Amino acid sequence: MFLTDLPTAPRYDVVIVGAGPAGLSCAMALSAAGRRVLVIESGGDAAVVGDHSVGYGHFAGGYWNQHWVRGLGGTSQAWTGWCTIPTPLDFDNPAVGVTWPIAYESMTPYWRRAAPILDHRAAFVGYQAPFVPGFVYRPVPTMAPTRFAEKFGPVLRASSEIHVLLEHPVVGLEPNAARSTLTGLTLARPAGGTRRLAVTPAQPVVIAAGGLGNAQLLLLPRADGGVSVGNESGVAGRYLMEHPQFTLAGEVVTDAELDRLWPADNTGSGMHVLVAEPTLARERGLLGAGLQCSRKTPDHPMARFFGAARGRPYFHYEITIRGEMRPAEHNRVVPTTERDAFGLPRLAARCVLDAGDHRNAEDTLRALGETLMRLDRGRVRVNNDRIYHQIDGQGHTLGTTRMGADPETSVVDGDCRVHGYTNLFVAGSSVFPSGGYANPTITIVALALRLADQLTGKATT
Amino acid sequence: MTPSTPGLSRRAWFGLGGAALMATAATAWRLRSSSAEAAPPPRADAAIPYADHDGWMVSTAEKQALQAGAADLAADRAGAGH
Repeated sequence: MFLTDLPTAPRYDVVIVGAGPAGLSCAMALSAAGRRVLVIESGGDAAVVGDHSVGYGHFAGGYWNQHWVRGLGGTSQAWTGWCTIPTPLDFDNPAVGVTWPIAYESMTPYWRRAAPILDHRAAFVGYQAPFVPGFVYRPVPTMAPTRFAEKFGPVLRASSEIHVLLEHPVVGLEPNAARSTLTGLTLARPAGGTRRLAVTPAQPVVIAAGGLGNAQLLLLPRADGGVSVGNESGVAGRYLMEHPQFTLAGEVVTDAELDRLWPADNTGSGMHVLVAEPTLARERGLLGAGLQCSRKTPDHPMARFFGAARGRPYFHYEITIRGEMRPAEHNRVVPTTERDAFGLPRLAARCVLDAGDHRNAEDTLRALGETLMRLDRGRVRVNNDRIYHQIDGQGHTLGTTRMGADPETSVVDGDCRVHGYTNLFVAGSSVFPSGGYANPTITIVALALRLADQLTGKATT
Repeated sequence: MTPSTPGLSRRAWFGLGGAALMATAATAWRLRSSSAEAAPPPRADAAIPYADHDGWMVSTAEKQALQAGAADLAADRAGAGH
């Protein structure tokens, strides 16, 4: 059911701030478990790309605003639809220096549940095929993206357990004196003015406003000048990460047709990546990286050369690398005194790759090249300029309210509960302690489903 | 000549100086030993086992063949105008 204003006598089991993939997935799972849910969204029916932030560093200007969508469906309305599953190393890579406080295996059932929500078959979860020693082939389904507004809008309209309140930005979070529970939310009304929504200690509030939006809410300035709610340890907004994309960073000629390796029961487009296996990655100190080799070049001279020399066909592919950034405290979002169209502080987001983040792309390519040479299965080209001089992003904003066991270095715990608060939770890519190689959407949805299970006492650990 | 110091004999002066000398030598030895222990092991990086052909990781023989092929191709192209 869609609301136009807060009901006078609200009675909800859970309040969710944000109607994107995380918020709606969590809401629908809670509803399926018999919970009444209020979803509050700053935008309206139509997706709005606004001027919410300004970037500095490698992702400058309004870059991230293209991927920060307010409105029903949130960022799913601009999503390209790619789904990838992290590897176990992505949760615990010594080269990254941070460990997820949850067991990788505990996520598998949630990735499988998330797949159909995103219109993918669960079969691709965990699928990988050997390519050459040290590297595996992992599928990247790239079918039409799931637009949550179109797919789930009718479900929400018909639901009696989920109430959706659009065009009501949350502009304030109120804690109790001990800062142990959230006691209320302040909402800006479309016609002007604000209203307060009281919440009790027994009512969980889930902040699911996006990778930057979550930090924005936990950095909201307080009228009394006090520390913002959820930023008691000063970590909120820090450790901002992207997935740097090194477009056409390399090339490969190989005697194996890479695009033949695809799980038979998946209808994905055939996009895939090569990923270093944990043993090789640990040995060489590699961060996460997915080598996309899906653009086969017909009749390439290097393929002809090796085909003629070896007497068997060779194939040429361009390689685009999507890599991982080491989390760094100095990469962060900070509220400015400017206000965006929703009355919220516009964010300044600074994100700078370090030399190791660049070098990881080269090291991973060279590891593949050395393996192919040793086995005489192919050759690799490293494009230095593309790795060190030309960086793209993917619109993935990660880590700004990161998960961890230590309140001094993280914002939420392994249950995605804000440290110190009993009823305040965060859902979305902002809780990722590290970025790994994988596109985040399916993990965002999986973590939201896991959170719903935790709130209803059904979580697996 | 060691200056005379009230209350401290020439022998005592030698003793103090000797002890200080020994302590300095011992400290130097410890520092030398500990820095030797803390130093990274000598690096013996092997030579990079491939040649570079316009960024391609290839063997030296492959590079020569590729260069020869490129030269042949250039010669063919040059000859095509005549």
